[in-house]
Amino acid sequence: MSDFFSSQNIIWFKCLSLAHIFIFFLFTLDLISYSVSYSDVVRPYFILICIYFWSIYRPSLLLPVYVFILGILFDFLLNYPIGLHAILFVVVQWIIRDQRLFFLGQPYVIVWMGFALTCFSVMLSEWMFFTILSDNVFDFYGVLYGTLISTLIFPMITLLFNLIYRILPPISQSHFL
Amino acid sequence: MKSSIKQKSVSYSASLALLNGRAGSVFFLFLAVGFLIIAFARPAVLSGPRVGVTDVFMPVLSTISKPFQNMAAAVSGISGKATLKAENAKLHAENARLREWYQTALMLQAENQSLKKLLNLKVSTEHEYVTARVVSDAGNAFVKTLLVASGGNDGVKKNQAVLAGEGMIGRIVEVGNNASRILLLTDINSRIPVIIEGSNQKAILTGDNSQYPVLKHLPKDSGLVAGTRIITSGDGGIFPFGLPVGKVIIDGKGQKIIQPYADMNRITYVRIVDALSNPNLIRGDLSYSIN
Repeated sequence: MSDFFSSQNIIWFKCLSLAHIFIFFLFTLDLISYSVSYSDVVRPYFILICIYFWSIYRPSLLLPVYVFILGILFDFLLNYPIGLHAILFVVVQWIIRDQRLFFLGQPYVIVWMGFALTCFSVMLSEWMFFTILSDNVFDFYGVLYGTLISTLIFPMITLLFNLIYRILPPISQSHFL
Repeated sequence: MKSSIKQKSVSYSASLALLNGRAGSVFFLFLAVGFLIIAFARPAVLSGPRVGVTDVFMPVLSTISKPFQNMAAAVSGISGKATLKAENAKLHAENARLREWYQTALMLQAENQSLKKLLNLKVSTEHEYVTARVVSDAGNAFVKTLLVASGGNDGVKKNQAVLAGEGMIGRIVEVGNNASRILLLTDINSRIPVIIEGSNQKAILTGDNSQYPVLKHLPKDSGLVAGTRIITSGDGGIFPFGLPVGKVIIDGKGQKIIQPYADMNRITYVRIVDALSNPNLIRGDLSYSIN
C-alpha cells in the first residue's frame, strides 16, 4: 500500500494531472468567445490537436471513453447535434492510434502534415454533414481557414505537449496510465 | 497485502486494455451513433441535459473567456487611438446632424403622445432589459449561437429578443439557471418576422449562416432599395414591434441582402428584452426604431 502512495507516484500523478488540465484548458479554448472578428470561422481546432498528438505519443492518456466524453461535451456546449463530435473524435483517435507506429517512425513534418490531413477530413465531414442536413451549401472557406489556422498553430501546441510528455512517467512503471 | 494490490493492479490493467483497445473504440462509436439518432428522433430528450451541462460549465467558461475579451478590448483600444483624430472629426459632424434629429424626435414624440391620447391607445412604452456577458460562441461556420452568463435566476426566459449595440442579434432558445443560449439571426434555423419600414411590407428574415441574412416571403414588387431599415413586426407575439434589425444592402451580384446593425463577431455584452404580456397592444410604439 505504501508503494502506491510513494513520493514518486505522487509526482507522476501530478504530472498526469498537469497533462489533463492542459487538455481541458485547450478544450475550453474551443468554446469561449474571443470577441474578435471572424473568430467563428478562423479558429484553431485545439481539441483535435490534443487527440491527434496524444493518440500517437501516449494513447493511454486519452482513452476512447475520455475522447467520447469530450465529444459529447463539445456537442452539448456548442449546440451541435449530440453525438456528432463524439463520433468524429472517437474515429480520429481510433485511426491515428492504429497508425501510431507509422507516425512514430516518421520525421516531424510528416506528423504535421498528417495533422493537416486529419483536420481537413474532420472539418470536411462536418461541412458535408451540415450541408446534407440543412439542404444548403455552406461556405467552404470556413473549412479551409479552419484547417490552415489549426495546422499553423499545431507546432506551438505540440511544443508544449512535448514538455509535458517528457515529465510523464513511463507506461511500464506507472500505476495510473 | 502485496498480492491483493498486485491482483487489483492486474484487473485494473485488464479493464484498461479493454477500454483502450479497439473494443473500447467500437463500443463508444456505437454509443455516439445512438446519441445522434436520439438527437434527431427525440431532440427534447437531450435538451434538459444540454441546459444542465451548460449551467455546470458556465463558471469555467466565464472565467477563461474574461482575459481574452479584455485583451480584445485592449487591442481595439490601441488600434482605436490611431484613428482617433479622424473619428473625432466624424463624430463632431455626426453630433451636429443628430442635434437636428433630436429636435425632430422631440416634436414627433409630443405629437405621438397627443395622438395616442386622442385614440385612447393602451401601449406598453417601457421594456426592461437584462444585460449579460457573452462567454462562449460557436466554434465554426455551421452553428451560430452564443452563450451568455445570465439565466432563469436573472429573469431570462425562452424566446426573448436579444439586442447588442445598435440592433437585434437573435433570440433566447435555451435557458438554464445561470446561462442562456442565443440563436443568432444569421443561423440557418433563425426565422424572424420583420417589417420594412416605410412600406409596411411584412417578410421573414431568414439566416443562412452567412453574415447577411435574407428576406423571404417578400413580393417581387416590394420596391426595396439600399438603406431601407428593417424592424421586427411583432407578428406571432414573440418579439416586440419595432426592434431595429438591419438595413438593406445590395451585394456584388445585385441581390438584396440584410446587413444587421450589430456586428455579430464582436459582441461582448447583450441586452435581453423582457417578453410582453400582451403583444397585440404595442403596435405603434416605435421607441426602439429611433437610431
